[in-house]
Amino acid sequence: MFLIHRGACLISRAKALVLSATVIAGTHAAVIPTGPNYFETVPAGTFMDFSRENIPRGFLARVPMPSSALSACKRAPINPSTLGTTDTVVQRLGDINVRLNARPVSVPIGLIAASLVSVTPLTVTFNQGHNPELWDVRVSLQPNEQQPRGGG
Amino acid sequence: MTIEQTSEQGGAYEALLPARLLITFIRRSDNVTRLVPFGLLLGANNVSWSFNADSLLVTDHHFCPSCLAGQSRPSIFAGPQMQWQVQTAQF
Repeated sequence: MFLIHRGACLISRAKALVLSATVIAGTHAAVIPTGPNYFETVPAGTFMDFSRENIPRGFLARVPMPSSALSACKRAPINPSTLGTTDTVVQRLGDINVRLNARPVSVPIGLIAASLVSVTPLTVTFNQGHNPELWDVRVSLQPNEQQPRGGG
Repeated sequence: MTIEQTSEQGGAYEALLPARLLITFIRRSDNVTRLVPFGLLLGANNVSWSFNADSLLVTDHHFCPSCLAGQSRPSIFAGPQMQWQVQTAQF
């Protein structure tokens, strides 16, 4: 009788252990729903390279691009009253089910807003270095164009 | 984005982000404007993310896309034509 009771206790403990493990694992799982990632640009680490061939001749320089949010004398952020310093929004295009130490999962993303301005004007020269001109640079999304999907 | 959770607080992800940008050049002397469509592909590796973001951070569903243990942390998206350093926006 004692052996039967002891065996039942062991089985109960084993069930409890399995249940606990399930509960613990469950607390480490989460769903990150479809939605936006709100970013602000860090000017010190942001630049565009206009020396590439896809920029028209004359725009040959490397210019730092700041966040409109962090440059007091430049453009305002997208919507300060509701989005704070946000100047860039990347949309998560699907729900993400993450679980601690599980295999990585993939979901498409897309850029849905961007608003940058140059910290200093771009100097463009003509006539073999003569006639320098100062140009301000602004970066936004192409209007009326669907942004391509990205992944990872 | 390909994302994984490596701790109770968050984890890391990598991302490929294509973009169709419009570059506007404005000449200071007379406000002449030139518009240049600009396509690029940016990539980011080992971007830290976390749950339970600081209440001052602008987040969706407590998911902080550039955070370590709930604190904003800069991340870099980079490609041949552009390096874009970002961090989670703040109120």
